[in-house]
Amino acid sequence: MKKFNLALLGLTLSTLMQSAYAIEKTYSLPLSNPGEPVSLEIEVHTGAIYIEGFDGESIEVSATMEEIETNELNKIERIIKDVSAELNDGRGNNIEKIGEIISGHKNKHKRKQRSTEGLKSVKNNSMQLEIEEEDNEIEISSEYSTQNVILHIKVPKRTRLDIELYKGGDVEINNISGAIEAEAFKGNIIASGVSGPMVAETHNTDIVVSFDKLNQKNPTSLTSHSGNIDITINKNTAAKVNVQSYKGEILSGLATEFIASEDVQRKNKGGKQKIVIGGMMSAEVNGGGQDITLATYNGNVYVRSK
Amino acid sequence: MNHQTIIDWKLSSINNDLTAELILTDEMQQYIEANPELVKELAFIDAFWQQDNQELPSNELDKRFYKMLLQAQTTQQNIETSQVVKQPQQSSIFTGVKNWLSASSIKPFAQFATLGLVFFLGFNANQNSNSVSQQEKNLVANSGIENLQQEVSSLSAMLALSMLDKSSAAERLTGVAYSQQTDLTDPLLMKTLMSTLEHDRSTAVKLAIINTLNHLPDISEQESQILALAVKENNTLVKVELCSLLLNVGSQETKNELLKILNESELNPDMADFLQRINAISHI
Amino acid sequence: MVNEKDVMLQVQAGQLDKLALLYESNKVKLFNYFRKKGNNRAQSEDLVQETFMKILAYRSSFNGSSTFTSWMYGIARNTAADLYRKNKSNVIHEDIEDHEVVAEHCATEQAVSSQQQDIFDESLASISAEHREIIILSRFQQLNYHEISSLLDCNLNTLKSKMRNAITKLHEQYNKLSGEVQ
Repeated sequence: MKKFNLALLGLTLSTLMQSAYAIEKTYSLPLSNPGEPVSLEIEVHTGAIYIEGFDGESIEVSATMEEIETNELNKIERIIKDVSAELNDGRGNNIEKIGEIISGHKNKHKRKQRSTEGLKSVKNNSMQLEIEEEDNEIEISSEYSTQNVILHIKVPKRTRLDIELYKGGDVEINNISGAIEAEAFKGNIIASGVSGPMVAETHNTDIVVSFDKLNQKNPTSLTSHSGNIDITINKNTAAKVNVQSYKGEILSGLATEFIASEDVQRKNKGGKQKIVIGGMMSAEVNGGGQDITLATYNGNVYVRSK
Repeated sequence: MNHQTIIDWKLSSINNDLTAELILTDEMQQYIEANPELVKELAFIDAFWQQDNQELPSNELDKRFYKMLLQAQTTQQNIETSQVVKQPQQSSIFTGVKNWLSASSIKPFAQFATLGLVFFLGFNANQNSNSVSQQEKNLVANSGIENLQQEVSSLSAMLALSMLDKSSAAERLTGVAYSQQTDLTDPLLMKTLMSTLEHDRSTAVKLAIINTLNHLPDISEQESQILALAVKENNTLVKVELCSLLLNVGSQETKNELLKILNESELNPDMADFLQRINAISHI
Repeated sequence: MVNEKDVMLQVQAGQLDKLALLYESNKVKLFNYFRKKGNNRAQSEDLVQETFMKILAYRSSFNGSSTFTSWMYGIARNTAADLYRKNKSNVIHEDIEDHEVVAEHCATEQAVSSQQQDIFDESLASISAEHREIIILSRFQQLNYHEISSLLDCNLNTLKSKMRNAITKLHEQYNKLSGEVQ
């Protein structure tokens, strides 16, 4: 039920944003050193990021940038606040009420609009997206809070990624065998066909990762405060999966049992009394291997095997 | 013109100070000649600067350095190749020696190669000599293993330090994992772990360090720092773990202090809930 | 002459064998640096070893904005400072047994001036740690004013006046000691 409401909200926000002026551009950057390691660092204030690994030796960027008017931005935030308050009210989610809130805001917005007859829009060229490449190290950044940037990027599969997204939509990553670091403050992080190591962090949105295989060189760790963490690993992948949720549920489809790590410790310390809340559980899959640590405070943890 | 000007000129000239005027003027020359005690002082500076009693370190130092370098290289290779197939430690050291000796960049420096060779032969002698009795052989082997364990521990500490310094969070996590392999007695490593715990931008790295500290039998030296971090931390996950760490292994005073601070401060709903549960347990 | 900064950048990029070059060209200077600071031979060798371990461990923190020499001495100073903190009872003057080793060492190499050098060493050991440090870095490690000032984090003019005071103190001590000897 909750999911449905949130989807409705998402739809409304995107229609509001469409009224803003948008530009779309594509760039193709050949690598300075083909065949060598590649790294891509992205820092975007507001927007969405989609990354796809491919067999080329270049970086293909398609960027859609649209201005977010400040008062519009405030209004969106106000709507989000009101709707969240309604959702968290505890008396059940009242769709009609939420609808009223959203349409109410919309109506108010319409009444305020002035006539634009005989006027034409002056193009805003303050929108900025920086793309730099040096020795196979690519940096893309858009640090303005007044623009919404949607990036579709194709990179060589081996690329090492470091992504930060503060606001807006999701970070989506497909077919990347390089190391991944991602941080999203308001959107989900969704990855598939990756090999890790992956270190990802969200606040109250989900992290969903499907691993092709698992990098054994460095550990993988996914952390969220209130979001769910959902991973899928191959049934023959060797790993030590550590899971921890303070208030959520842990659901496993692995053949191996999870054992409380604290139990093992307690044995070592001769039965010393311990206070354990939301302690860590571990499962050594296929004999154990590199660590995959999944920690959330309020969310659920899902471990699937394929 | 005074003594100070002359001494400054003297020191600047022997220190190759390019920012100063280094020419000795006639005026300065006359001033020096008029002051015999200044002549003496200048002579002293010259004598002091010209004395040459540099001592040479022992050959032991060279051996230790090249051994360390070799280990670092071997480990570097092991990290670079996949760790899925774990090779026995000794065979990888041999591979390391061979690779190291054949590295083209070393060849021009015959002395390094010789040192490496000496070390290599010494290592082989330990393994292959038939002239020593079986008992002696076992002794050698045992102390060899002990030494190796010690070296592996300090090597892990070194690697941990190096990895904790990396820009990639996954590599820093590996650094934390290496630290866990040591007994954490290296003060520099402990200092680095604590400062990483305080400043790292990745929650995963912070959580891993707290988990490592949880394995220590005694955190009394770090307790006050951990308490300060627990109080100021904003990330609920990290804050909860820091508090749990103190409640698990901290001293009674620290636990009381922590509970007092928590009970007196304004907490977000999740922390308040955590505190409620802790209070419930601690009253039992 | 090899540019040590470039060599260090190669070490940083993963060519660990290049550290041997830096070790060979600096081990004697570093060893003497620790000796002059009042450590015995074994301690000084430990400190040289530890300094190079740290150079390896911290290689990524070398950013090329300073010379390799001043970066290395920064690490060496901290390493020595850590040892003093660890072992507070450590006395600056070397113990007698060790002093004999030094005297013997000098005797074989430079019998003539060995007495004068002993006095130099003793004068150096009797001035304040701050003054001694400046003199050691300048005289024995041949760092220039610029490198020393960035290492000690003070400005050039302050360093110059400290240097002058240090030398005056050293000269006074030397006069006193050589007077006692005669």
